[in-house]
Amino acid sequence: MKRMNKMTRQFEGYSFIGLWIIGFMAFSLGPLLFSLIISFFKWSLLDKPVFIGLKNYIDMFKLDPLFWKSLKVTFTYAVVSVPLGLIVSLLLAILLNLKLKGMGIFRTLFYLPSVITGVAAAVLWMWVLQPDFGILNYFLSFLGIQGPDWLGDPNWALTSLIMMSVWGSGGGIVIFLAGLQNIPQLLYDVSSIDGATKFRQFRAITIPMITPSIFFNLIMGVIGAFRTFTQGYVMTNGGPLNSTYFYALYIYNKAFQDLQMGYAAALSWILFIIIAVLTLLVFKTSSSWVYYETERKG
Amino acid sequence: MSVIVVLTASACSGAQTADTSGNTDASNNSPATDAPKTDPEDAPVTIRFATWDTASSLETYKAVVDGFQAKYPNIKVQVESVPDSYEQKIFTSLAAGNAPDVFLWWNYPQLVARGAVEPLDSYIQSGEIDPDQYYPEIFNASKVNGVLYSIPNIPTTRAIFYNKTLFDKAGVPYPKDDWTYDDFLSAAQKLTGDGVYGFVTEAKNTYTLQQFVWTNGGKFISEDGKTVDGIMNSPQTAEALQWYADLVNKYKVSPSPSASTTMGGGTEMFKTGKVAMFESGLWPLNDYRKMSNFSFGTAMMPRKNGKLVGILHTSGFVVSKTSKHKDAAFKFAQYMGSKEGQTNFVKLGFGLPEMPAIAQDLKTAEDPYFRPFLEMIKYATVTPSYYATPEWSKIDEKLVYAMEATILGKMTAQEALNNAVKEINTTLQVGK
Repeated sequence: MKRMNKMTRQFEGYSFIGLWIIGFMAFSLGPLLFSLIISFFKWSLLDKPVFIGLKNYIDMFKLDPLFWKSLKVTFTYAVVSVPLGLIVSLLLAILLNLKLKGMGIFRTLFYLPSVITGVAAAVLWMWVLQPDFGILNYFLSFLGIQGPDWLGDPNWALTSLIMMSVWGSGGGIVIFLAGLQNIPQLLYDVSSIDGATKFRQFRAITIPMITPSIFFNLIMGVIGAFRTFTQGYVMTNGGPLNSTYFYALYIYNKAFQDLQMGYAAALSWILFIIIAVLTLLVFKTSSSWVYYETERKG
Repeated sequence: MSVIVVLTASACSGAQTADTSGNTDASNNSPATDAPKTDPEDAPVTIRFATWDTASSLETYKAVVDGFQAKYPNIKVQVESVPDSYEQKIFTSLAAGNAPDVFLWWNYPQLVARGAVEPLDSYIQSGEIDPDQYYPEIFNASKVNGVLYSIPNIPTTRAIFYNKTLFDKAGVPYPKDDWTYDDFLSAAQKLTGDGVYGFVTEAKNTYTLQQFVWTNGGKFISEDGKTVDGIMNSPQTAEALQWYADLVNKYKVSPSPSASTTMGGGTEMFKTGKVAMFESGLWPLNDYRKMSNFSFGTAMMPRKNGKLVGILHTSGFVVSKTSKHKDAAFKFAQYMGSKEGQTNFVKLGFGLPEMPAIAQDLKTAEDPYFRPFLEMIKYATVTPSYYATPEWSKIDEKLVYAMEATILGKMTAQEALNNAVKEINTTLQVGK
């Protein structure tokens, strides 16, 4: 066997990843760096960018109440919807893990919402939440409760969107389900011989064994929550009274409604930093609560 | 790393070249410089035209474009329909330097402030545009600070649609041309009940609100676009907003904002008989006419103390600064906005004639549905707020908040507008 020329081998290697690298640079890294640069400029998209240093970033913190408002809305949404989504999808996954007849149908039903695209789901929920003849208030009326004007009342609008996010947690259910099915039956058998209750088994076996799935769903959930856009854009347009003015919607409006591209880019970088820091925090703490079975062997 | 530098550099320089070429054109101010050889009859060119209309109306465009090409065989026109995110698409294409040569637009100050569209005054001087053939209110809406930037396209006023069946049932007389706010309110109150609302308000539509504010003697912003304090929060403006909000909260003749949104807004609610009156542009008229067993009429807006100011929705054909064939582009814009071109669009029923000659030919005033809309043109005497400043979208955001807060009954109109004025001053400094 002839030894291949070093150059040729390198070329072969690069040619395999080359196409991807070009795509990455042109469509991801390039725009990314461009947005970082433009965040130090004042730019309306139609005229010449004017360098204004850190002014975009300073104004954000000092002058812009909507920046704080949209941050608050987004944080509130994330803080409530992510844990709630995790708990509900875990509980549902446990139910769907039971060995019952026709379980396939239930699993499909609960996963179905995740198949529906954002805008369609948003429109569907607008009807569900309609105050006068929406199905939710119709059911509530049987209990003698006069349901609120869900999306029209500033006190309820964000809550409504959080409810909706929980409905769409089918993706998380699937991952939990896979995690649950990977837990060896042996562990449950052994512990029940030792007299462990169902609850004890859940706490001491199920939870630790699926922490990798929780970890994954947590990270994806946090990232997803901070990028929420469609609901605010389609269902409420940020209202009523800015109560659902998500950060991503604010970025969009600054860029394409007010034509402040530089400012919108600066807002995006702040969002990027927030998501990066939160993800890092979750990663840092993960060693203390995420349990990988394989690690014990090492 | 080098790839990236090149990318960003080219993106910046792209914007720069677009800008400098724009400047040269402005200083020459002669549309013929780009095609120095001659007029477009000799050199065959292709121009691009963008519209926000959906593909379904492309047939009408085709008919009009065919008429244009019969007249100017050497100018080929490529029609692009962009029904979704139209404005964003135009912005980005302007930034990238590949904007359509001619496109439909409405918010001229936004583009004029950034030098993106061609001024057309020279064509008035050269006699190619005759301002006298248009309704003056409509022609003036194509100007920014006295300079013409577009050839008007089918405009519409706003007027009242009312459901005759529901009026008969409630024993309410049909609206007359000179009906008043009091007539309007008492009609709305009598019509409300049994799942029917007398009227429907829009919680976020400050554009629509303007006509009530103007009729009441108020305004949102000074004419030079620099002042809102004492204008947006003046007693007249506050009174108008309060009255509009009271239709929901006090008189309860209009559904809550979110309830009407889900029911599809006025247009849909009117169709399904859930609302007896609503005010709108001409747009839904065609649909209503096609419905069988649907008896409705249109009426002028009500007056307050004998005063009435209406509002126009206008748009027009603009020529992009970056167009390489400005003369051909202008010829096309002019044709689209001419009597020949416009007659086809008016026949479609989506707008009013922009010149009396078309109205006469088509006997628009004799059509009972069209007549109130046509009448309203001469009441459109005040310039809409967005003409005052290219920053209007930022100001409007605060105004929308005030309007919403008042309609939701969280604040009085006066408090809400005072707040808005306070916030507008800081918001305009952000990122400047």
